[in-house]
Amino acid sequence: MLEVTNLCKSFESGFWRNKKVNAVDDISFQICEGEIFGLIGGSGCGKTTTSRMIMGFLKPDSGSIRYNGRELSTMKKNEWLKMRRDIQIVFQNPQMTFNPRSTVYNCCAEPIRLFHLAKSREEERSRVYEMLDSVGVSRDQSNKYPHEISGGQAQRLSIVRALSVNPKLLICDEPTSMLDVSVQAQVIALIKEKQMEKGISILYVSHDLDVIKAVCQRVAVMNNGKIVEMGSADEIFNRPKHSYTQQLMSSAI
Amino acid sequence: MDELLQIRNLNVGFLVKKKPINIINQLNLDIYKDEILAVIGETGCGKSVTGSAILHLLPENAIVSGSIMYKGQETLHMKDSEFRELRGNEIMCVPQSPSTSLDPLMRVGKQVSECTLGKKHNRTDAKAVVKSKVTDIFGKLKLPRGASIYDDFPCELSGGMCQRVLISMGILTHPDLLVIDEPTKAIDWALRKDVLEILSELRQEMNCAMMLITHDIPLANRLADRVAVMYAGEIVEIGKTADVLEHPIHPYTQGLIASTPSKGFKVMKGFMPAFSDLPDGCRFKDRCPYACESCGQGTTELKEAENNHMVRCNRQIGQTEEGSVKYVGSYQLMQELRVGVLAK
Amino acid sequence: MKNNLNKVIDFLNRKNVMLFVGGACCTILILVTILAPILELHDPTEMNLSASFMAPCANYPFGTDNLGRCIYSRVIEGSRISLTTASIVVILSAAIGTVVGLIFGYSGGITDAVVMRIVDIFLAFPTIVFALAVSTVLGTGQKNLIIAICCIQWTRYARMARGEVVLLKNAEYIEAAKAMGNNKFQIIFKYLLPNVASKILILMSLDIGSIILYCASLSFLGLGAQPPSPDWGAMISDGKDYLRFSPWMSLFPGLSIAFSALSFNMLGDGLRDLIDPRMRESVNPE
Repeated sequence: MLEVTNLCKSFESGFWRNKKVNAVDDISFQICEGEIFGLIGGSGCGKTTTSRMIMGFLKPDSGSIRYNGRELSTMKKNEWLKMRRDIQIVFQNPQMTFNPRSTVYNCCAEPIRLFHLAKSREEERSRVYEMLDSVGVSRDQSNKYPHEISGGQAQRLSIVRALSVNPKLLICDEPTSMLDVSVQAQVIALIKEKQMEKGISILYVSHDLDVIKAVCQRVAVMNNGKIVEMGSADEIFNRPKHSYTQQLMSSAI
Repeated sequence: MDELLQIRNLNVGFLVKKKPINIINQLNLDIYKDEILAVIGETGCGKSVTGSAILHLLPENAIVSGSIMYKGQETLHMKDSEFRELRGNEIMCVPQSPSTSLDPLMRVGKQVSECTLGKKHNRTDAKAVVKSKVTDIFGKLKLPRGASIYDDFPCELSGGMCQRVLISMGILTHPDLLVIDEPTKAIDWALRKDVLEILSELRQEMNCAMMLITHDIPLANRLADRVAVMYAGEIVEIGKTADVLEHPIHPYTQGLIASTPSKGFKVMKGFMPAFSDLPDGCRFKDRCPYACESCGQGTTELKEAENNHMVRCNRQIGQTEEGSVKYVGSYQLMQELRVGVLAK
Repeated sequence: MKNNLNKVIDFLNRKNVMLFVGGACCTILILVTILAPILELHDPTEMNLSASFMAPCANYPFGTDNLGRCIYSRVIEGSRISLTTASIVVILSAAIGTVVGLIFGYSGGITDAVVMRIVDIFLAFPTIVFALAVSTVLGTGQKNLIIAICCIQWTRYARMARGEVVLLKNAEYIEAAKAMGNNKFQIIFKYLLPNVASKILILMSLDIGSIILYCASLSFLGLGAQPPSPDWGAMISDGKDYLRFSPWMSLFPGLSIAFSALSFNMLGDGLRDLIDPRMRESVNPE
């Protein structure tokens, strides 16, 4: 479904732009229909860069990202706008995902308005309330501002908001690293539940081995911009072959 | 064991729009000499506020009552100028978020040495002596390039190195009490292991009590001697690490442990109530699987369930699967008992 | 003593006295402009040579000028000219500057670089010198004065808006908005504008004060409103020759300029304190 081949991206830094950092270095992987694919790695290994390239926020230096046979990396901006319905993203910091100047209701209603999913105001309202109800946010909280609701609530809302346009692929960029364990369990349960319900594919990016182990079917391990090992979750966690993966496993507390 | 720090009936509230909102409710907590006490709980349960109260770092709109005794000395109502002699010498803290806790325009070595140079009685310390001390500690914490890192700026260091710099700042004066706030929040898996290693080494080398504020249960499990679990501003369970984390009695502790990825990822129902609208009676009752009518009334006291293991729950221990454990008596009673034992 | 001083400072901060005083003064000014026809005692352009150079008295509260016109009435009438000119300049330049800053700041790239260098060139000139040059080319008159000041003033807003946008455009919620399927203009006007608006508003209220001063200086030099319409700057200029024996001719328009500049500056400072989130009380314990 999503096919990434030989993707490269480097950033230039230094006073004369003379230092080159290969953030993502020749990586390839595929995500199949209805699968949860995990991407593990330490901070600064290029996981986030990869997810940003798939979302089209960054242009890759070389390589291709194909979604259902269509090339994403060279796509025009207005074509991308239509693609947004198919590919959605959940970010790391839940409170930063919402516009701080608009209410929770408006934030949730936005995808409905953008894609004209509701025919009338009433329909829009009922859809938003449905969204709020499904994640246990009370209706009178819909007039609050994003910083007034808790991180867990905001993250669950950002997940249902992303799912409200019925995407085929959801990218989760460390969705629980800012959350507490009890809230993390709620968020992950929600992601898994929605995935079962709608059969979407998920690219789950995280550094938390336990979470990846609990969620993903296939896993790729990244280090310094390269994928060092890829396989089924069972293989990776029980029989890690690459030294970096082994090192990662041993750092579990 | 001697109590280094005794917190009695601590209440902390904040004035918000002229209305006081109570955050910490009747908190009693002892930290003994040389022990590591982990305070665990969800974001916003008041664990960091407790830390700030100990360190006199609460914002101006806070209302505090109760008592905090440090080595038999009341510190809560001390003037800031007096307390400053303690803080930075005997009581130190390691703040959370290493990337924002360092002054970006000051060299790290200078920032670390500042806490000794700033003190009156240490002013005679020549800068060179302090510098060698600082480099010593840097070496001890396995900061790469030991001495040359002294002249680096925080932005030149990685997150883990910044964390270590903050820790070295905390231990430079050989404090008796170190308050460590969320050392593993939002950091990478490998770094978390590093932090764990550093802290456990420190524990062996230094004679220093630590209060570890965290929501990372595995970390608390590996490091702490005792664990206190906080929920909505109250301690709901406190005791030896093995007792609390292996045989939790309070339903909240049980739920918290069950929700960690390695322990089954079970979802606890409901959410922590807002401080502005707390339920009557037991604060956990709306989420509690064992809640009964009596939970809705009065206050639930911390009671001793087994030796030094206190739980704030109305449930009789006999009703749960932990049949072997039984309540001995009320908290006050045990307090008297222990005093009696110490007197003998 | 020191304690009392702290209390006073604390009181000023907490109650945001600046905002109240500034707001009250500005309201008075605006009321005066609206009610000018009622407040005036004489026709501001009516000459009465027999009553020239009169010191302030019951009939002429601020005295009269060399042509025997009532200075009080002229100052009141002048407030209309000054305030309308200043508000038009501020609104126009803020609108132009903000839109330019938002669009080019968000787009980035070579066009942004070019436009911002142009802005830099504008900013390199002292405002008054540049406005003087533009007015000389365009000729004198109220409209040309407005154009002249706008020409340079918009750059401040463009800089401000662009600076904010560059910071904001990498925020996660902007990326989230992009991911949701907003196009460029939706992001600029639905997301960036509201987030920049508060800062722009503060800059506007702070700017009115200085623009009143610029207008006055330019009219003092004879580039603004033409006689006989009463402009504060022109009135000071008229009075400068008679400063030694009838100082009221320049004094009262001067005081009005000072008063209005001060009130708008106080309002701007007050607004800034109000909007600055650090001043707000919070319950978040983390």
